Amino acid sequence: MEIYVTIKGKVEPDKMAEFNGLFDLMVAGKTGAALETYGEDTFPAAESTLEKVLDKFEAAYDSINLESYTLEQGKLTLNFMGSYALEQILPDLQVWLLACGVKDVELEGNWV
Amino acid sequence: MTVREIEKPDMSFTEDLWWQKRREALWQQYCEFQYDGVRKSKLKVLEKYFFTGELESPKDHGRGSPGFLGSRIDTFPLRKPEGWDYVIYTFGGYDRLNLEMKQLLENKVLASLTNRGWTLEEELALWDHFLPERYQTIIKSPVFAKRQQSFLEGELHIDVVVMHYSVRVENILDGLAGSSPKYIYRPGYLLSAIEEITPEDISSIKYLDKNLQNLMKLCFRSHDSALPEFKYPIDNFIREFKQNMETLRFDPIVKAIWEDVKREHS
Repeated sequence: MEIYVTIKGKVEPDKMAEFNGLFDLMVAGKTGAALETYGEDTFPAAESTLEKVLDKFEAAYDSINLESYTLEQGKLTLNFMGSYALEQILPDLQVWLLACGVKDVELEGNWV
Repeated sequence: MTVREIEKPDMSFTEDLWWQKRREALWQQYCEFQYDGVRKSKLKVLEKYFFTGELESPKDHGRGSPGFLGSRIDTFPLRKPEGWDYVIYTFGGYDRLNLEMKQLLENKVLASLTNRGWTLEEELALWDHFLPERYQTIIKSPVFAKRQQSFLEGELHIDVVVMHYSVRVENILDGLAGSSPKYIYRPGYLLSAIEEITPEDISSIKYLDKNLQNLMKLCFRSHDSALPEFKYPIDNFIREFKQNMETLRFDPIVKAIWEDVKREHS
């Protein structure tokens, strides 16, 4: 079964460039060392929560699959695709986004 | 039988600064394309192996998975038979599914390694080290694996061989620079595989007939788009292929496909 999950939230306008950089890496599939390094440098307060997310994906032999995202005028939409692992890791993913500074995080799940 | 211990080959070349500089550029390429999902802690271990051939705690870094052996050969600093023998001896025999040799053959030996920085000479040396001159379904590793105290074995199916040639020869004719040209230097291996094709293979193996037909059709295509350095070798490959299709003993079903393709292009 595949799971499509949309996470919406709000981002401070002056932080949009940092978030674009983060999500561009994820959409390109660079979810290993490049994401960790970028996360540490740009969102140091969220370092441990990112590690937790990555640890959980690794334990499930899976990885974050961000299919696409939009970030316009502070409004963020992230479209993830995944399997059972994604479903289990969603709470940690939300905690990480909050730690990065995304506000009003909400799930709009399309469970297929 | 006593297993002959295979020592690590002389790796002193890895201390050469010029080699390190070139290796660094290749490492960046691997980080960009092969290891983009690999985390920092693991990447450090892979980097050390890439530059020295030393792998820390193999158990925690993929040993036991079918693709592990192929990856170790791909990234071992010494791209020579003595390097590959050492890798087979040291890292082979751990895959519980017993697919490591099959994956090594399909995904490394027969695959295009050009975009991983392998030269044509290195690719052909790898080919010749693992594949016999004539096609065989079961391939044995050139040396024992210490863990199993025996040779590793892997199946290589005809359709995989035909598919690799069909795709890559087409790439060469299209003039794609990132595709390995090694296939056109080994026409005999392909022909010996085609000699083994039976009517049962054609009816039961998906896409075998299509790939075979595509390969045959390529013999009648223009070579104009091929890169200049490959025009002569591709001419030779196609000439040898065509000649042998007329003279070797193939199953009538293979002959019929060849005759149809020829008729279409006459």
